[in-house]
Amino acid sequence: MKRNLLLTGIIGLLIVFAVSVSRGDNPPIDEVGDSPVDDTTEPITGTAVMPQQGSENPMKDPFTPYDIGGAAAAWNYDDLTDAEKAVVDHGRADDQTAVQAAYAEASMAAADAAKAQSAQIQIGADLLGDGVVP
Amino acid sequence: MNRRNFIFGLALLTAGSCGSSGPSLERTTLSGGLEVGVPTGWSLRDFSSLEHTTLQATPSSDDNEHGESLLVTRAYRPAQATAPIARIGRWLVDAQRKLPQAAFGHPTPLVTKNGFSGVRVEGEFVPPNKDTAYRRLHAVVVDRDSLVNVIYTAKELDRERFDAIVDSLSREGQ
Repeated sequence: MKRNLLLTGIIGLLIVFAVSVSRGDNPPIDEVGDSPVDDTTEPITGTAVMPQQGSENPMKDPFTPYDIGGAAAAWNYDDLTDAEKAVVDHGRADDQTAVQAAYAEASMAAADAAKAQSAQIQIGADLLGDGVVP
Repeated sequence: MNRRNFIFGLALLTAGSCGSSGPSLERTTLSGGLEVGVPTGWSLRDFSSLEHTTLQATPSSDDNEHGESLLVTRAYRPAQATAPIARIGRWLVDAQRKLPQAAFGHPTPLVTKNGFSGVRVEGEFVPPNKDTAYRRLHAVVVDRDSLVNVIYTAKELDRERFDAIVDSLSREGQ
């Protein structure tokens, strides 16, 4: 019994020793990056170009309208001639009822045709066309 | 009952029995072991494809003053064949909207003499390149997993003939 305990203790001491030695082989990871050997800049040909402070040209937001140069540069509705106002007002002054009705009728006809076509397919009469009319 | 009344009654009975025999039909076979009667003497044309069995029957052009024609088609429609008759009736009415200047009534359920259930609709339309309205009777009959369309078109419909054609649907050997 004593012999077994002694053997177990020796094996345990050997394991502890082996672990401590393996940790001491390599430096910590954060020490690697700080070493002066790795602090190298990539070589370039010529001289590096840096913009003058304050003269950077930032990218324009594509959804922002261009600056027209101040309120005085803007055209107001009142500045337009009657002919120009008519062009600007196009679509507002005209009565669109007939146009909208035509679109509504056309889309309704297309929907009806699609519904009829679907029904014909359901009952298996889709290949018969208008039928036979002598 | 005197002799005069007896002769009159016999004449009525004879007339009634002639009317009940219905129009003369010739039996022809659709796919799936289904038979249908087409009017005797009408010429038959087969427009069947892989998906549909389609038979067209018309009288000879000399004998077709009413512009009659008949189309019978059988299409494999397992999903639709199990639908309620009311829904098949709605499809039947909606399908007529494809016809130009169409005006059709409400669908009417039917059961043929041989027990097939279905639905029919009647209305009129003006065919393309025609200036007169044609009337149409269109029935859809459920045959197991298929739907049979019977389409009868004419300037003047012979409803008795249409009823006889629909009632003639039967299985081979029935």
